[in-house]
Amino acid sequence: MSNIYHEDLLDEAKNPSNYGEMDNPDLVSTQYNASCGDVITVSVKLSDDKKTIEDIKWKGQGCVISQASMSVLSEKIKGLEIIKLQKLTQKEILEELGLSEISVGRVKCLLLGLGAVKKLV
Amino acid sequence: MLNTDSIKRNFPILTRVINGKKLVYLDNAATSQKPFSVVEAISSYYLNNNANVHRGVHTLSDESTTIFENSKNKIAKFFGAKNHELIFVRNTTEAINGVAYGWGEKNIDAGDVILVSILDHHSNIVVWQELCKRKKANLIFIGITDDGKLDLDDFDSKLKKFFGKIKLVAFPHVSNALGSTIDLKVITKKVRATEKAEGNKISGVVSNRSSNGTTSVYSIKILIDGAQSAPHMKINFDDLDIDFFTFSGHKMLGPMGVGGLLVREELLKTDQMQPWLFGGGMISEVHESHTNFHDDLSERFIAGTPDVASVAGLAAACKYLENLGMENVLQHDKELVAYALDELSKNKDIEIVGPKANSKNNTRIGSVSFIYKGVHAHDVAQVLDSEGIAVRSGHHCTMPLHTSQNWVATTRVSFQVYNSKEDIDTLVEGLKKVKKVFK
Repeated sequence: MSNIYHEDLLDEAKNPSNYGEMDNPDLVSTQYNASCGDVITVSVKLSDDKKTIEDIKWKGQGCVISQASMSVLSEKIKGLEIIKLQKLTQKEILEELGLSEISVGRVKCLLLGLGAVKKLV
Repeated sequence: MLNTDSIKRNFPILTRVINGKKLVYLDNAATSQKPFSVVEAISSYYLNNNANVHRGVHTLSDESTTIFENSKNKIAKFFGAKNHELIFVRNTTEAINGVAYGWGEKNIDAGDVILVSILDHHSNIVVWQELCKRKKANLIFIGITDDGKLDLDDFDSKLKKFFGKIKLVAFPHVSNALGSTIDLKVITKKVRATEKAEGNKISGVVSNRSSNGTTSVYSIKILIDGAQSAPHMKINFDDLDIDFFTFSGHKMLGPMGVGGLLVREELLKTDQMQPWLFGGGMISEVHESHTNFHDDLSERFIAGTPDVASVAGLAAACKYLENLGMENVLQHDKELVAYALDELSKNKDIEIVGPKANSKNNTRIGSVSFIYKGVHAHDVAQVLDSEGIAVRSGHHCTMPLHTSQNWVATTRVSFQVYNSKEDIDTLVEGLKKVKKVFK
């Protein structure tokens, strides 16, 4: 617990990137955390050739971990080719959040947004 | 042979004295004894780590979840299955019921045929009888040869005769009553060859079980009851061309109350096999109008709090067997069976039933059953108990088999890794007392 809630992470959750709604998205997906009912919905707009994520908005409710991880993830995938979405890993998200590890009970929180993103395609 | 002197020391119960005699436990096909490590895994869980899994953030819940997940991995690997192909149940009986409710209810229709064998345990008969009753389907039995093996000619002819209607073949890997062993490769080859040949005749559509898992309407599902094979031999589920494999933890040195149903991945992915118990834990989202099940293919079958301690105990049992080496475990059993057959045959009052194997030619696994001429099996077992020897007597949950062979009851001795040739010598001596009492 000691170093999970470092300041950057708390900031990230308080002021999340790309939070909000999107008009006429190309793809939308929603993921629930079965353990607690937390939820994240991701909407994206694709490039003209439909290969790249041009814009992303997301909304959700949940703990600091799930919201902060979705926030950093939204930055990471903006401009990413959609075929690369499935290759995103837990480790990458941890790195983005400045964490070296997370307890098993919180893995589902950490991966909630990634689950939604992977379900886009 | 395994070093049974050192193995016996891992099983405290084997030091018990019964009726003034040191216990000789030969009822392992009913349930095996448990080594220290299994009991320790269970007690350590409750004394140190107990908390509900999956739903907590606190440390104990983390530990409990980790123990559960690691144990599940261990057990799936032990059976050569993918993690999500393993569904925890209480025992083999519940696993077979699970297939009937989770797969059968949706896939068995009026007029369909389920093939079982006369060797099957009641759990692999009654479940299908009841399903057939509900669905107006037909349960057809494959017979046995004179020496108690599955009659492959009968199987061939019934496969052909009922093809197009057969939805399921449900056989025991090893007969709990006779020790007869089925060569799974022979069975799966016969089924798949028939699917191909007969399927072509009917529709011109070749039954296709390609790597992407598509199956034609004529595909036959195969369920193997592994209750009596899992304790004695290495199972590689993913190498077998079968759809369901069932086992009980308590017959393979693990605790009572936990067993497994292995389901081929494709049946889970395509929703052919669906949850049959509903509630907490198995969901991903619940709304007033509907529910979506858990994304994980086997988690969606765990409704409610699982028996974490027993799962940990079963993982410890798998580890114990692995440390001995399943090849050595099988070899040990074969030598015990052969020795028992040789020694019991010397007694003129004993008629051994089932495959007439001997030390040179032995396909029997796990047990030897016999009839003591002129003495009922219960009386034989009672006399043996007075000598501290535990055996089973009766029909061993195979009443159709006993009826078909005109056996009232048989006496069964069955083995585990801690049994030695000396145990069989004690049995042979004990049987002399039967003669003294009843003749």
